[in-house]
Amino acid sequence: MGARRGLATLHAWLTSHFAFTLVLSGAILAGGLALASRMSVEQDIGAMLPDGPGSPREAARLLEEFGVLNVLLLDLEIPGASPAELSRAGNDLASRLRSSGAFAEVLAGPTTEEVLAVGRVLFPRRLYLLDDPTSAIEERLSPSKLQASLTGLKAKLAAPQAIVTKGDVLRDPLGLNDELLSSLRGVSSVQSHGGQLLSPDQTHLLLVTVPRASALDTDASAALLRRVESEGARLPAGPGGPARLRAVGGPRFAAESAATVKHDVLVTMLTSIAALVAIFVVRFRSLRLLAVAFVTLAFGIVGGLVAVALVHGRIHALTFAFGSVLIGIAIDYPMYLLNAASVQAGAPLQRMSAGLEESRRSLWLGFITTLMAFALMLLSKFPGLRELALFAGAGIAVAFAATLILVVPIGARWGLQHLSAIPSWMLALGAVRPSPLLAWGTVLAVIAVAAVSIPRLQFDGELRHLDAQRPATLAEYEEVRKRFGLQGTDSLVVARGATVEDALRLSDRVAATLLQAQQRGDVSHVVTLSSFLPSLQSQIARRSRLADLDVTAARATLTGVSGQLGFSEGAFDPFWREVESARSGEIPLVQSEDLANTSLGALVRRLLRCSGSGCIAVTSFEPSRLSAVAELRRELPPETVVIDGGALAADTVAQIPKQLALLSGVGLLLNLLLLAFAYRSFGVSLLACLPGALGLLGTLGILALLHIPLNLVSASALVLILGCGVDYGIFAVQGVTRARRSSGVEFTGVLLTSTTTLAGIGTLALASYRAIQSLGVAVGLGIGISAVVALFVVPNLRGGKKAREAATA
Amino acid sequence: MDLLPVLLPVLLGLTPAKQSLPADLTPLRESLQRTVTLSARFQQTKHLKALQDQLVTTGQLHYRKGGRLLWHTDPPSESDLVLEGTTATLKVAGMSSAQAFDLSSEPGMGKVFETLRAVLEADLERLTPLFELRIIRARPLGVSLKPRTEALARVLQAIQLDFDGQYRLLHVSLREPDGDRTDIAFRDHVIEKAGR
Repeated sequence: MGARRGLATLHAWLTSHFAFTLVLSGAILAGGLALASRMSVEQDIGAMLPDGPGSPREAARLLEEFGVLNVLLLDLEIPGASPAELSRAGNDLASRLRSSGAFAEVLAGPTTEEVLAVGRVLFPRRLYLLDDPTSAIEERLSPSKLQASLTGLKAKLAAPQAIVTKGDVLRDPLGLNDELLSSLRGVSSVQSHGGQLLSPDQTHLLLVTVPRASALDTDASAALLRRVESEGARLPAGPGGPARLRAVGGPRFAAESAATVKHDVLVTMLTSIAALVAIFVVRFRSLRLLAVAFVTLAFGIVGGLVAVALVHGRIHALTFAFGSVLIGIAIDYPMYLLNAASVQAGAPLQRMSAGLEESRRSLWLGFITTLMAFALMLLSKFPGLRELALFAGAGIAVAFAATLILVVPIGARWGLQHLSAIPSWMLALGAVRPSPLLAWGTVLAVIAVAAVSIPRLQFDGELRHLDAQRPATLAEYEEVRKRFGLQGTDSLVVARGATVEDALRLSDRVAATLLQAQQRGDVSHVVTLSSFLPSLQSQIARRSRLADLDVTAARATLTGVSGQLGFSEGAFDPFWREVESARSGEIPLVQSEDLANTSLGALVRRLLRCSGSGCIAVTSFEPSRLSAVAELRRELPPETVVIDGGALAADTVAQIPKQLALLSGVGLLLNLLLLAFAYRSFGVSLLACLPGALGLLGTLGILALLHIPLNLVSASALVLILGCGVDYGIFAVQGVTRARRSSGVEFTGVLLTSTTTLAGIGTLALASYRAIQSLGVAVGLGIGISAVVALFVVPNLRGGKKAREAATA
Repeated sequence: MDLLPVLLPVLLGLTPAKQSLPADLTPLRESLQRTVTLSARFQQTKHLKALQDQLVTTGQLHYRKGGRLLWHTDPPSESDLVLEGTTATLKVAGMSSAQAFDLSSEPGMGKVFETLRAVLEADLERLTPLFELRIIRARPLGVSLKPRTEALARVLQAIQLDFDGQYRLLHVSLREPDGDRTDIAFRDHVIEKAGR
């Protein structure tokens, strides 16, 4: 009683000192914003995942580094142009792009010098690069293979350039270089043509560019795309038509997503504002009260930001976006209050105070049950969910406090003078009473549908599915990748070691396992350092194995067959001298520094990294099926970590929506217990929770029936459905349990708040950005079901009638 | 990838010298200047120490002045070598795709193909900076070329070019320091000349 009296005194003082109230409110908001503005905004989606060595966050980070988030692929086509003309145009374009300063890297094909440098480094050491050089030599000495390789060798000698390549041709009678080149071709899937990357049919040219600005800097990405477009317009036409320059990749996705999001946000914001204006005009015939209601939202957002600023010092962009939506439900508090005040008599302050008094208990219960849902989210193992819970929970709490403290004085001074009564059509709607049979039938139907379909509900952890990628853009991206044979790098094996040598040793074991899996058909496109940079230990072991080769016998075999094909007896002496040099260790082993200035240098830098904590050697591959990754995990050395984009999505990120669904269920149970305590009746508590429960079950059931997976964003809606649904139930129960029911305050309160939520968030279902769309669909379903149950089912259930009878008695 | 680094130090060491052609070669120069396209059959005979017998191949040479040069070798060792601008493209039968080299990014390699092209086109004006030129006979014209630098001499000991009375290239002989020799005989010339 003391607290209530104190609050009433505060309201009276704030009303009489209204200017001070407004200034103080403004100062608090400004102070909060100033504090919040010091926070940095995190955009890395991986920051939402648990961190640490071998953690999902590290996996996501590695995948991002090896993926194409920040890469813009440029596909140049000049119809009818020869490969040489296309290469020249590509070279000119690359020069212009490099000089523009907008790109950190513009990669064309390796230069001839870089390609030759690979040969200079690797060919003399080829015997160290073969898994078993002795077996490789002996196998190639079989008559059929030897005849084929020597015939090919003769053709090479006949070529005009053989005048200068003759020595090298004769040093490789067994075709060992071809095997080495074949393994290197697996490393680089794109054909290099005259220093440019051309498609196999030589009609398209690829430039791989890395812009200076992050792809997520959407303004910079949009400007970059305009620059590329203007460069494309400057290209000379070919005999078959004008040149065409396509740009695909991260920056384009980001720029298009941003444009889509801006459009969606504008449309949904206008829709929401129009709906809120319409609702306030229809119900209250006042827009001033809309401003009063927005005061709570402003305090909620600022309160949430300050809480996150004080605890974390930074906020994730997704937390702010979706947390703000969650805090948006706080507009329900002033709406319930204003609606209740509108039916009271007396001076404005008296009416507001009476309205608060009438709805006080339900407001508190609604607030506590909502807060409980967010408190449960704080227990999540995902940092992203904890941050969301902190932001939204603190925001709701501050918004609730603002409702209790500020809405009464501001409402009393600003808008209540001309507040109209509840429109008659709303009261008439509230009088609609379906039969108890229909009410029970509705409850059972929702439960039955949920029971049948929820077990089939899918959880989607693939963050890319939340993006706004246009199908046409995605198709163009896939077309370019396919044209140039670019492989995805969503599956990696990370081998760690204290030194480069340790990491490479482990990498060699990984390569052996993956190559076996490749032979079985379980994986493909294995890109491994082992094919051109095995560990020193492996190279020394191979050198030792060469000692087993019977050089005299092998030489006799080669001389015999080559003699029959017309070669002189000493034609291949240089090859045997090389074998002897390798056996004796005269030829140095291959080391990473040797490859630095070759066409393989960039790949080595990408696959082999060292930091203060050690080195990692990464091997990428493509699994033929999802289960192959699980099988590989069992076969690979236990010290390695397998990172697979699909598995990460399925095993880790998909846990977030699962966890949210579970937490919502637990939250519902806790709400049930809390309300049972508050009402001193389990039946009434059950009735109050029914809209929230059926809202949750109905949403999940319908999503499952429609094969719409629950994702990170739509799962956030479950918390909102729980919070709103239970609030609706609490007010619906208040409506059926109190003696004086004729005012229709509770019915219209639920009708107004649910309509507001549907108009504000449910309309997001019309958005084209998939993340926003999925949120809108889930909220639309959940709020719609909860509201219908609260408005029409709860008042007519047996429990509701009993409660009403008990209250009347 | 077949053009191995061995030739790089050789050719990087080339120091072209500015030389003018002797007066006896003026008719040849005029004939070459008027040549727009040329195609001819060739028979190449290689005398290699590594082989007991001669290695004989046949094919077709085709070039457009200042444009594309194609050296096509007939089966069974079928291959195409195309020189165009700063790009050399090698296509060998059975290979999935051609190998192309940007000669501008690798000056040493560029010199090799420039020399090959100049020899096959009998372009003495481009050869004289690299080779000492001696006229063996004036009519029909016979010319021998000796490398001016030690670096080039490690690859080629001497080149001899023989022409017919109409200044068409009939025979090329390339002698290597290790004693190997390549003889290329041309026939069935089809020449398109620009009008005077």
